[in-house]
Amino acid sequence: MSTIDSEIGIGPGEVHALRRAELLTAETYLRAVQAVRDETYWALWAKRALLALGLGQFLAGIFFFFAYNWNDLPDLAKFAVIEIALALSALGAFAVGIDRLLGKSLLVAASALVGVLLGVIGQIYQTGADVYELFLAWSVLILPWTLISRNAAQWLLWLVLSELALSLFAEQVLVTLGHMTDGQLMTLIGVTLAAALAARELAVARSLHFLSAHWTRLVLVIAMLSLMFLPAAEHVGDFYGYEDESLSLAFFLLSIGILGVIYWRVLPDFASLVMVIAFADAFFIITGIRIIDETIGFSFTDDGQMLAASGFMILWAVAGTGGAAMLMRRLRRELKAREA
Amino acid sequence: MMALSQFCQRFGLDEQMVSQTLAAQAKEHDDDSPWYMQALLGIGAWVTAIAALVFVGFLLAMAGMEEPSIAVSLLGLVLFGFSLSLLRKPSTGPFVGHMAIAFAVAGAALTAFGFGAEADDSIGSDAAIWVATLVSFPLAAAAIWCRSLLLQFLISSMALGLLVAAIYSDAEGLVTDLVALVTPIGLWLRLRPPPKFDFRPTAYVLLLLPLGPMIFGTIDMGWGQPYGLVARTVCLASFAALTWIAWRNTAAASRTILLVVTITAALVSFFLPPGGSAAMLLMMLAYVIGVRSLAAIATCAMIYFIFLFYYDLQSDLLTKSIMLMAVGAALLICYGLLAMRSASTGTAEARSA
Repeated sequence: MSTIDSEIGIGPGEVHALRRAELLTAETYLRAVQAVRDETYWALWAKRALLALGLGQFLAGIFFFFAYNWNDLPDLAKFAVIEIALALSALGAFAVGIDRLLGKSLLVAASALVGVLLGVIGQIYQTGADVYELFLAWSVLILPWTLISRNAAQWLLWLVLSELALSLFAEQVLVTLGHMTDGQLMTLIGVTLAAALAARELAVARSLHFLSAHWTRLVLVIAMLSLMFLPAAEHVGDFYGYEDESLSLAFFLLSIGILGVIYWRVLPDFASLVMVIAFADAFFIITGIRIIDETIGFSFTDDGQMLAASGFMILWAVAGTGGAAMLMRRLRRELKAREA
Repeated sequence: MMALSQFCQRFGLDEQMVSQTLAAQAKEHDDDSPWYMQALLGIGAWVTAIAALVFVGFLLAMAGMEEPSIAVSLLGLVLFGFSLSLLRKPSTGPFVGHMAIAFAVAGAALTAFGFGAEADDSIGSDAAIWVATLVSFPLAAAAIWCRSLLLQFLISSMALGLLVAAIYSDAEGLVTDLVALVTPIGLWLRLRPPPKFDFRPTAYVLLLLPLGPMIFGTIDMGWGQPYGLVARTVCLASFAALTWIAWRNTAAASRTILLVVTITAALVSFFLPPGGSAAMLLMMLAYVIGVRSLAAIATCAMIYFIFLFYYDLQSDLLTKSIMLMAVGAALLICYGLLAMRSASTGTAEARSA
C-alpha cells in the first residue's frame, strides 16, 4: 500500500481526512485542528482583522455622519473637511514613508480624496464641466504621486481613472458625433489596456519589481480581452443588430493570437494562457450559436426546431470545452516540462 | 502545519496507518489542476448542461409534459440518480463531473417542484412548499453520500432555502429567529464532524443561512427585520462556545486579552443588525479552526453589510453613524490591547535572549 513522506505537513484538510477515516474521535479532531493551525499567521490575522474592522467601521461611521449633515454644512466646512483629510493623508504618507504599507495606503487614500474634492467643487460651484473633465483632472493631479509611489495599487487606480476619462470623452464626443461606434470605443479602450500591459512587461523586465506581482498581469489581460470580446461577440452573434464591428473582431482575434504566443513562448505563464483559451472558447460558443441560428433557428414555439437546435448546441459546446480542456492539459504539461 | 511523525506522536496514532490513509485520500483527489482551470471547465460544463436541459425540456414538451407533475418528478429522480452514479465513479473527469452536478441539481429541482405542484393541485397551495421541502431533504442526504462537495452545497442550499421559504409563508414574523436556530447545528457539524462522510458544505450552508436576511433585505420582501431575542441569544451562546474552544488552546498569559476581545466582539455582534452579527460569528469560527477561505467570505460579508447598512431604512443615518463609530472604537481598543501585549511579549523575549 502506498504511503506519504513522514515529513509531509499535516494541515486542517488532512485532519479532516483522518476524522472521516475514523482515526480521530470528534473530541480529538478539534484539538488536532487547533494543533495544526498556523498560530503565528492567525495571531497576526486577528490583530489585522481587529484593526481593519475597527478602522473600517469607525470611518464608515464618520462617513455616515457627514452624509446625514451634508446638506446643512456650510460650503466652507465641506471644503475644510475634505481638504484637511486630504492634507493629513498626504502628509501622513510621506511622514510614514511611501515604501511602507501604511504609507502606500495613505497615498491611495489621498489620491481618492482628490476626486472627492473635485466632485464637491463641481457640486458647489456648478461649473457645468463634463464628467470626463473631472476624471481627466483627477488623473492628471495624482500623476506625480503615482510616478513616485512604487505601488501597483496606486498605478491601477491611476489607470482606471485615465481609462474612464478616455471612455467618457469618446462616448460623449466621438460616438455622439458619429466618428466612432460603441464597439470601436470598447476596442479602443482594450488597445490602451494592451499598451498598459506591454508597458508592465517592459517595466518588470527592467527590474521595476513593484509591478511584478502576478495579479497586475492577470487583471490587465482579463480587462483587455473582456473589452475586446464584447464587440467581437456582438458582431458574430448579431444579438442586437448593431453596426458592423468587423474591425473590433479583427482586433480581438489578433489579441488572442498575440497573447497566446507571448504567454506560451516568450513569457510562459499558464494562468494567462488559461484566460486566453477561456475567451477563445467563449467566442467559439458564440460562433456556434450564430451558425445554428442561421441554419436551423431558435424558435421557442416550434418544439422540433428547438430540439434540433439545442441538440447541435450540446455537441458544439462539448467540442469547444473539450477542445479547450485538451489544449490546457497539453500546454500545462509542456510548460511544466520546460520548467523542469 | 505539523510534520506527520510529530502529529502521530502527539495524538497517539499509528504513523503507518495515517500515512496510508492520507495517501489513499490524495489518490482519490488525483487531479492537481489549478482552481482557475477547474473553474473554466466547470463553466463550460454548466453551459453544456443547460443546453442539454433545454433539449430535455423540449422533449418533454413534445411528449405533452409541459407542467410540473409526478411524471416530471420521476424523470427528475432518474436524472438525479444517474448523475449521482457518475459522480461516485473515481474515473469521472472534471468536465463530466461538473455536467453531472448540473444535471443532479436540475433533477433535484424537478423532483421537489414536481411533487410540490402535485400537492398544490390535490391538497392546496399552503402545503405545496412544505411538500417540496420534505422531498428535497432525502435528496440532500443522497448528495452527502455521493461525496461531491459542490453538489452537497448546492442541494443543501436548495433544501434549506425551501425550508426558510416554507416558514416565511406560514410564520413571517418568526423567520429571523428560526433561521438563527440552525447556527448551532452548523457549528456542531463543523467542530465535531461525524465520521465517514464530509459534512463541511452542509455546515457552511447552515452557518451562511442567517446572512440571508441581509442579502434578501435588498428585495422588498419585508425581510429586513431586526434580530429577535432568540436570535441574539443564539448568537451570544455561539460566541461563548467558540471562546471556550479558543481558551483551551491559548497560553495562560494571553487568556485575558482573548476574553476582552471576545466579549467585545460578542457585544458588538449582539448590537449589530443581522448580517453584521452572522459575519462576525463566521470570522470567529474561521479564527478558531484556521480556515482562510471562511475568513475571506466573512470579511466580504462584513464589507457588504456596511455597504447595505447605508441603505437600511430601519434607522436614520445619525443613529447608524453613532452605532458604527462606537463599534469601531471598541474594536480599535481591543486592537490596541493586543498590540501592547505583543509589544511587551516581544520585549520580554528579546531581554531573555
